[in-house]
Amino acid sequence: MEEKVYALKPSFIMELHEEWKSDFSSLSNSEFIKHINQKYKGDKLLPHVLPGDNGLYIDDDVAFRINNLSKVGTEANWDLDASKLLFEGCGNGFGIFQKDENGKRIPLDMIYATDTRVWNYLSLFRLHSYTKNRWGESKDSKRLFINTLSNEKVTRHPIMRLYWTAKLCYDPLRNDSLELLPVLWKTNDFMTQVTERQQANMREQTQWFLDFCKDPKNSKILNEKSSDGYKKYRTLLKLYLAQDQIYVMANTNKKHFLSIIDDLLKAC
Amino acid sequence: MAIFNNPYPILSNSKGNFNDIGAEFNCTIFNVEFSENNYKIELRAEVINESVLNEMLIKGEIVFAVLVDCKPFYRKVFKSNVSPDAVTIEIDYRDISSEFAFELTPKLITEIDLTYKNENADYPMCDYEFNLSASQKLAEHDKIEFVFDRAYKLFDAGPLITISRLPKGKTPQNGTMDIKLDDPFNIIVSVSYKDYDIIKETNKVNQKLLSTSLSMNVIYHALSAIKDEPDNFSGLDWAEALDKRYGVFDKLQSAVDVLKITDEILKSPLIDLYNYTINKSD
Repeated sequence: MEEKVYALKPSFIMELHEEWKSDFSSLSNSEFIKHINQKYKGDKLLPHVLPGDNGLYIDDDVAFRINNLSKVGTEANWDLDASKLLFEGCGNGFGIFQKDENGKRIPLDMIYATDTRVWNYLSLFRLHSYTKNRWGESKDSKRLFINTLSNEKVTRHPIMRLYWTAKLCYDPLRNDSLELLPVLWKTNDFMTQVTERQQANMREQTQWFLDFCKDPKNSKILNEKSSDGYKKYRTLLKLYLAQDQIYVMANTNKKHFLSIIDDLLKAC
Repeated sequence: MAIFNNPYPILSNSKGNFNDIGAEFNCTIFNVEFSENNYKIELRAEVINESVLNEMLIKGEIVFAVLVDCKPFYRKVFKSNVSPDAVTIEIDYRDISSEFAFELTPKLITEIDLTYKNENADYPMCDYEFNLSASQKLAEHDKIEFVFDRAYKLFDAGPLITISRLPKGKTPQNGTMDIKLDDPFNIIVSVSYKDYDIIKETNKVNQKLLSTSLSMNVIYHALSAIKDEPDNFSGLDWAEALDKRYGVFDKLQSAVDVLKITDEILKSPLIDLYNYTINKSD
């Protein structure tokens, strides 16, 4: 079964943000989520969503499962499970989706995948239990709202990050189309490091890089403890970004790209 | 003489190594279009007062390329194809984020591995030879920011007209379609179960035909109703949206006004359809 995904009116998102700033900024996010879900329960939310059919759906089983996930192992495992569910679904096709002309589920196009009105609806209302469980103790509004688009903001939004990490790793030509997702979600810190900088804009190269990290002989990049701040990875990234000023990395082929990364790793 | 931290001479108007001879790398956007779901942006590059790069460009050792960035998670290189100094960027709007903003960075980049020496570069770079791999930049222009205002607004208000399918066996009371104007969000057009499939097929084959044949009639009908009884429509989202943009509550005084604003809303649909048909048959 599926249900419609709404888009919140921009004026309503602003109103909620103002309310958070004035009454909830010193409280934990869970207080705010509880408050708004009580206040706009059932039909009371409808005047605040955009009219018209936007053609977006979420599998209701997926929504139920994401809302009821809990921490097993690390927080990154939790996010990985939620990310897989949201993108891949749980057996009936994509978890959040549009439909093609034959009614088949297809991934969101870029407009919807970046429409902050939709993602705010999901984080604050439809998937609010996940947001509350996962980020309820936080007092950071980035863990509730997204107002403008940037890699850094997408990477920090509770729901958009789940979708986008899967979208970045998604390769329908692989046997497991999300094969690289567990590599990216090795830890939360690693995921953030990879996705928040501009090099993540090169989706193909990001997948090559994750392939590189997946190879056991290169695992030293990932073997440091997160608390050490991934020194090697950070150094590698700095060198990588510097190389992007010399090479137009988005124009390189896989072989050339991997030889550049190999050379950079030797210098770390 | 200004030497920036470039590993070999780069022609750039702000951080370059060709200041002594006054060389420049300039770009012009000479065409921007939006059609058939595509953004099309055409740029032309011009190297002024620098013969070495110009010659390399003609020989195809370097190419004019434009790096396109769009937040979040989009970066792509478009290279010259027809002429070495021109790049055509074509992007399906569904591949671009809802902000519809691009950053374009024009560059000249190496197409092959080569040895590069340029006696026109500032001293001391002019004296050295550099081994370069493919995809290294030899010239760079400042970023050009580009913002389109498209599609977001359409979704913002929802579709103006919604086609609704009647249950099997039921037919519209008023012939081919019933037009409901009292819904707060959209104009709702109800058609029979069978006709709905025909409309869907027509939409697939030719959206412009549908826009002309169906939307034109529906909007004409709706605007006529607003002209006659504007008070009946105040407070309805779809009518308010039309009023905000086209002033329908005040401007509609006669049948001619109705025709004129229908034409404005649908952007001359008949001529558009004729042009489309002529181009398609060429």
